Amino acid sequence: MTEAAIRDKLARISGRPEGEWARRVEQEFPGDPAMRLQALLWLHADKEGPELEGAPPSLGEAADERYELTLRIDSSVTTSVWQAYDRRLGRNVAIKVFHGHGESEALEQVLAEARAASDVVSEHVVRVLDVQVGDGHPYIVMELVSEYDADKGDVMLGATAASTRPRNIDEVARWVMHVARGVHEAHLRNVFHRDLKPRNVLITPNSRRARVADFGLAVSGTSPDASHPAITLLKRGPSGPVSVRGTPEYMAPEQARGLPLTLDARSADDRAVLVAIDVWGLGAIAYELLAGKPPWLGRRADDLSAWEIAASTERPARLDRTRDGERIPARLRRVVEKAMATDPRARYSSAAALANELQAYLAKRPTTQDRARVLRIALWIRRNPQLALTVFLIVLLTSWAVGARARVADLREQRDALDRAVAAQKAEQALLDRTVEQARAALAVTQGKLRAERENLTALERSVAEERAEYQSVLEAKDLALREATSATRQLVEKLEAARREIRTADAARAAAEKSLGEARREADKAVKDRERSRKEREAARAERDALQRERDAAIAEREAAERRLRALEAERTRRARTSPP
Amino acid sequence: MNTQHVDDQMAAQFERIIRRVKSSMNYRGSYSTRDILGSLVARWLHSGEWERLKLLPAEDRRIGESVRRFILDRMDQLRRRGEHDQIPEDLVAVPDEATLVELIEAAELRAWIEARIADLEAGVVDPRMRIPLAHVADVGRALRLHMKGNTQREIAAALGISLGAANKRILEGTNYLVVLQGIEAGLGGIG
Repeated sequence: MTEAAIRDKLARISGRPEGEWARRVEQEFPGDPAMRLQALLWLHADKEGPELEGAPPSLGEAADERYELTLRIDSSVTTSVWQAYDRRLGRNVAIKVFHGHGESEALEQVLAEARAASDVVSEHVVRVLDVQVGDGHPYIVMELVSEYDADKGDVMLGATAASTRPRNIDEVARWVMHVARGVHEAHLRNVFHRDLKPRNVLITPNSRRARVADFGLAVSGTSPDASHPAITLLKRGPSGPVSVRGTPEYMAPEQARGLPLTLDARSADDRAVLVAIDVWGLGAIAYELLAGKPPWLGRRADDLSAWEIAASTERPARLDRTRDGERIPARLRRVVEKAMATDPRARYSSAAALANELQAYLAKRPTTQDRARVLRIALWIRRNPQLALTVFLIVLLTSWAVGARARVADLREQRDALDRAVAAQKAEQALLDRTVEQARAALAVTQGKLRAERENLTALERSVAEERAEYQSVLEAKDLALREATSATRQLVEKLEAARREIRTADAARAAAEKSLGEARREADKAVKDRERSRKEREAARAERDALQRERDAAIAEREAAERRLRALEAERTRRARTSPP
Repeated sequence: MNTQHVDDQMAAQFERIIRRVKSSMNYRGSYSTRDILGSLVARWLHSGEWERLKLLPAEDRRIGESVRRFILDRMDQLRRRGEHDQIPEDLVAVPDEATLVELIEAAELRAWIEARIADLEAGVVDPRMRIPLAHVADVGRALRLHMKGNTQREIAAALGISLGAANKRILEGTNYLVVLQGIEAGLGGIG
């Protein structure tokens, strides 16, 4: 079977009532159960596939009679927005159709959004005209943002700011200012949007004015999120569970980290939290319209989602140039940066304050962020060029006139001063003449005195010459005496030198003598010691000699005694011999 | 096989598959906490932890604890990136296992759809598909833009085709994904 044949068969079957599909499929694809199942699933998917532009959903019998849905304007996960014609009132409207079929949560959401938006009456907010949650799809009827184009002879629809390129940077500021005015009106009625982004801003086609739409996540009463039983992701301290709602790419940091489920839009503290979130959202709209990308973008490189980056303390990339490379004025950048301050308390205290700042920027008036005096003056000049030129010319002429007048007065003063100087010089000349005369007379007197003095001087010179001659002779005598004295002195000096030399020689001799003396003393000491030793030796020798002497004496005595005994014995023997016979 | 019988047997499964594919293809512009948790679960899935847990008996998987640890780890990473509110471990709660399994299935399906769309963009059609698909690459691109949140009018402009043709590409692409998902799910052996 060819591809075309299969598609023809499916097209024919899909045109039949649903109850006949199974039978028809079996007839068309006999003996091929797998093909039959695929075909049936295809047909059912075809029936329940994404709602297509040009195929309007049913709003229920009564509504279908009243409203003719003509063109799909936008679509999102749960809703589609249609241009419709209200047959009863004969006007075009926009109808936001919810895809659900009467589930209680969806109905609650529809009613909450309709109530929130209908509370707000502002030329910068899309007006809610009706809401219906009966048969068929729930829907909200809103005014259609459109304008009649005389050139084209047709009604032109507005488009979201996300799909409309601003013509220039000032137009971005103007759109955000419009949205901020509308958001402020909502805040005054305790309605807080919480999902501000370019996709929720509609731009009129001709007048290019911006209006806020889609209050789907708005808070307008107590416990706003309690009706949406969100899964508890994080629980924080005494405030209990938090809920994260919004669009990650545009979330304020504190919004991404989660808001308590029990926020009360009537409480001053909670109001401040909600206002700060919307002020951030307004800044985020300006950011994307200028930079061409939202403040937060997921990063594949480090596997971080936009929500995770928003919940961290990163700052959005700095706004320097638009997507077209145009430099973003620092004044506007500062306003956007203040609206998107990480600390909610550092942001503008209200959407109106931000709108006023943008209005000041557009009117070339200084914003609260323009603190430099030079900048404020430059802005005043840009704002009032003709007045500035006039003031400049007046100042220039006044300066010139004042200068000219001062110059004339100055010249007059110079002339008077010159006159005064001339008169003074004349008086001075007369005085000088008189002085000269007096000086001449004085000179004559002085010359007479000078002559006398000269004579005196000549005499004095003579006297001096005489005294000089006398003095010369004295000097010569003194010189002679001096020379003699010098000669004597020299001789004395020579003698002194000779004496010194002698003294030195004597000192040397004395030193030598002392040295010799020392040596002699040492020799003497040695000699004394030697003498002492000799004396001792001599004494010892003497003692020894004496001992020997005594021994000799004793020996001599002994020998003498022996000799005497011998002689006695001799005598005895002789005697005996004489006496005895031979 | 009786056609009425097929209707009765398959209707519920058809509806379930179609709704799952359709909801997974929706662009979620505004997030709720559930979406945030869904995106974290998708990342958890991508980390390979689910593949590991699937090998364990169902009663030993403790998916909730694994997801909770994963979220805490990412929160720690965020804290290291700068000042961030201290998040004590016991103050992170995740939903019950049934809800988590639902979120995991949704994340798996979303990843599967993105892979199939990439195939279509490359002109590749699954060979098990019996119903012919025309303008394959265009269908892939239309589905990609549709999932990014572009309106059908924007898709038509981006692809340089009429609004009707853009509608048709999205419709056929969605049908293709539904049938392919039915094949993956083994619905009555339709593959």
